[in-house]
Amino acid sequence: MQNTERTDFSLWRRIVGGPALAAFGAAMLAISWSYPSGSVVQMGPGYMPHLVSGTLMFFGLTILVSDLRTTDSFETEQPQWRALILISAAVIIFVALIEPAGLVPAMFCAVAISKLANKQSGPLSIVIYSAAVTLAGWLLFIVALGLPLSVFGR
Amino acid sequence: MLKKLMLALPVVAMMSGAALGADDYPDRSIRFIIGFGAGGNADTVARIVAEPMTQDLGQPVVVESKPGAGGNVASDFVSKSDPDGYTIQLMVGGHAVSAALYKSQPFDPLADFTFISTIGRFPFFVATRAGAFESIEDLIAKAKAAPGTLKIGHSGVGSTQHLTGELMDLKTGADFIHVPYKGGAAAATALLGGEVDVVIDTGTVMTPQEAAGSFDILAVTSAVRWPDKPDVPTLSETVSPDFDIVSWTGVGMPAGVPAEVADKLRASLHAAMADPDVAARIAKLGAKPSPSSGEEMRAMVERQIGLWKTVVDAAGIQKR
Amino acid sequence: MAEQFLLGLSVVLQPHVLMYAFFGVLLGQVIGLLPGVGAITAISLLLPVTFYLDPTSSVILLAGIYYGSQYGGAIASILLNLPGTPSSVVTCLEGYPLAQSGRAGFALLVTAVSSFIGSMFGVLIVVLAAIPMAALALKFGAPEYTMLVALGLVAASLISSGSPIRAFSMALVGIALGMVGSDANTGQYRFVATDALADGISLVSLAMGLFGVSEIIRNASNVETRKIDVKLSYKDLLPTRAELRSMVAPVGRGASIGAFFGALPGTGAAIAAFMAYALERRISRTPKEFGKGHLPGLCAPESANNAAAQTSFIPTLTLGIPGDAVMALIIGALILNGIIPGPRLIVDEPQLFWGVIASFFVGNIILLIINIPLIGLWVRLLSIPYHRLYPAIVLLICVGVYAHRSSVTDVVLTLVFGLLGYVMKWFRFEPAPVLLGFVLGPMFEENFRRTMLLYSGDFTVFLTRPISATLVFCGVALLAFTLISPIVSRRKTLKSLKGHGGPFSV
Repeated sequence: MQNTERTDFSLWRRIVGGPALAAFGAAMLAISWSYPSGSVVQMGPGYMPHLVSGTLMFFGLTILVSDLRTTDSFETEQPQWRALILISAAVIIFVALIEPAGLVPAMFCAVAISKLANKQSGPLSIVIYSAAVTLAGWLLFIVALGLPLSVFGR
Repeated sequence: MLKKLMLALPVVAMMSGAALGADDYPDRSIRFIIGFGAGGNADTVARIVAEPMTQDLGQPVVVESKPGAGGNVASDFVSKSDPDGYTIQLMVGGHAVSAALYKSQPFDPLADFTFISTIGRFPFFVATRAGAFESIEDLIAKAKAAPGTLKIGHSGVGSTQHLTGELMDLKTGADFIHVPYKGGAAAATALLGGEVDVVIDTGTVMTPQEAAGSFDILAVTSAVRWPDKPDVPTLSETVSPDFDIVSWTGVGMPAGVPAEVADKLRASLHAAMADPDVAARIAKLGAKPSPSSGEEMRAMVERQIGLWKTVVDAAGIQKR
Repeated sequence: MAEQFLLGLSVVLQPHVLMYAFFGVLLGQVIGLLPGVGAITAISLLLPVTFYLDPTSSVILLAGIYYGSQYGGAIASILLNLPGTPSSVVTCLEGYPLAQSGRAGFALLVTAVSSFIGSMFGVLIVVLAAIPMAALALKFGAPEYTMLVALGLVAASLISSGSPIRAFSMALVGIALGMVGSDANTGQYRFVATDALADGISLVSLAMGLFGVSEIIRNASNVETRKIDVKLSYKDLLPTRAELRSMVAPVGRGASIGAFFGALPGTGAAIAAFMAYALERRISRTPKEFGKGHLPGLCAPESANNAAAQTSFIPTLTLGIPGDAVMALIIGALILNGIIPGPRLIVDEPQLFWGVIASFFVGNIILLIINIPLIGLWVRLLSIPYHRLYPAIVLLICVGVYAHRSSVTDVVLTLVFGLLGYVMKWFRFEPAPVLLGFVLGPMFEENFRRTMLLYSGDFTVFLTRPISATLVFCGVALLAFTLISPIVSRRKTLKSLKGHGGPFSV
């Protein structure tokens, strides 16, 4: 919440938003191109994807046009690259470890890496903190809830 | 807290699968894989037999749900598990349907499995709104008189119920519109609400509505009359000679399980089903408890795969 | 009815039955706190236990988990912006900002009380009108569902603070995401990049990604110890007279909307909270306040989703038709106990039928009683500095999503949606309509295609059936009103000031 500030709706943001949406629609159309549309009575699997992707491309361009004309300012936020990268890394390490190594190593690494996103933490405090959260996670998910997950390895 | 309540928890056994003789089998918990979500018919059947088997074998038989892709996720998992007897699968009629419906499967529906025994066999019933048609002959005659007007609601494209309806088209020459719903209950709702004219589904879906006087059950899909409903004529004795669709539940294992292990599990399953209480619970699901040999089950699955392949091709159903 | 209800009360007030009701709602409340773990997981874990209980206790226990989780779901949404269900997404919209401004305890109290009132209204409808409501639900065929869902999608364009076109575009993105998986009408796979997507994208990963993960990225690196002033005195907790007055009508409207939609099998409960929110926003004299912790926007959807949770038992209990996965599990529990639920349940098993309904009444009172003292405890969670809290939230999300269906792809997708939810705000796109589109899109496609199949492609069917025609009228009116009102307000503001926005500024 603290990272928001009132800035102009900067030009590159105005240029990228609409086309990104249109590109999403175009990609969708490209993938669904081979899906048969069928008829109105017997609609094929492609009918709705074609309709939706077409509308998305149209809206994308509409939004581009109006974004270029607008003079509004609105609240934007400074990109939090450090958090973005480290939180992503934490989730990815969780994914990489959960099946081969089990829940406990995956939880420990994910917590430790995500803790790095905030510059305040020193190495020792990260280790202690992560161990504590992992223990709590184990108590919650395995002991209390009994989720059918392997604790260590397969 | 929950753990104590649950009695037998799916603790994943971490032992490396050392080969064990039948004397020692089982010395740890057995995973009973189902390909559908908890609470469904498959789950219910699995739980009904898992409990007495746990007592008989002295090790927990733990029902574990691996839903997805019409049961194929579970079948794939089981076919690739160690053939040590500690991974077993609840199979359903859909196992044979999938073999016909999917362009390619990551496993061979026959060769990659050891078939243990069928558990229950159940037919489908053809039902209409009460009073809408006099008999199954009346229904088929009206359907033929006005092709492409009467609608059959079914529980999803590629479900056994759907293919049974398509087979009825093929064999009687009637031309129904087949309307997909999400599950038998939704199809039954559509029949109640008057949106479709016919529903073909299991006794569990139909019987309560018939008892309440909302549905007429016109016919049964088995070759001979079903013991629970001796007054309901079969399709084969009325409009479609040789019509014989009976779906099933059963137990399978990965291919290559030692014969002694398979025999021991089969004996335990049969013992469980011999218990009158268990048999009664299976019967309550509209199924006839039907213990079989592994060969019988395999032959039945093979026969059904052939039948469904014909139906899928003839009805022009999109393969996945 | 009173007589039967008393019969039900006599069943539920037996000590052992009461214990199961208590245990069920308590467990539901706790489970609901953990987004992603959710009622379905809890009920399927407990299903084996019902083997050892009588049918009435089984259903009372499982039902308690279900509606108890509705209370719990609001807590994670308000405190941490972590929604696990479509209805708690709506709770995030107003509840989270309110908590951020230091009024978390107040927000929790408001939701607990609104939930209670909504539930009680729902129970009342079940007691008084179960049979007629079930009959009404049967009148909803494919055309009605199509138009109902379309109305919901139109409402989507009203639930964000941005312009209608932007919001509607986001709903379309949600619809597109909802198409992943096998096509319900032909079985063909669409947009299935890996086998893990064959059953579609999970709602849990989408909701937790768009809301939870993006919020963590936004705040994780705050160096200053973010500390929300936690006010806990009675004066801070209780609403002022004016606030109280502003909530009475929204709670009532929410409860009515929820009770109505809940009775429609499948579709209802998911739409109820969104519709209640959209309605409040539409009729509000201060629409600009929404999204900043506006009370009517918090209490109306809460009341609606709890009313819907109760009335969604109507089709299950009176027709034997499960509307959603939770109801299917409850029917499964009955079948395990040898009872095949159907239209005759109410006649054949009056003890069961009325016992379960009376348990809703008792269970909701228990929920209210256990919720209010717990508010203080939950709020203290926010007094933990955020940099100590967020890694645990990351963990909660990862494990919750993974446990949902043991899929690592789901966890990866949660991250992808988290990044999307973070980045989209840069371009003034809001995440809430994506979720609504995701939930409603498949329902729209399924029912629209079914309508065309049933009525040979005849579009007039939407206008010739009375219920459908009414829904079309509501949708068109809503659309027209949305497009015209900015023009009107623009004219007004033009007179006083120079124009700000307007219909074409999207």
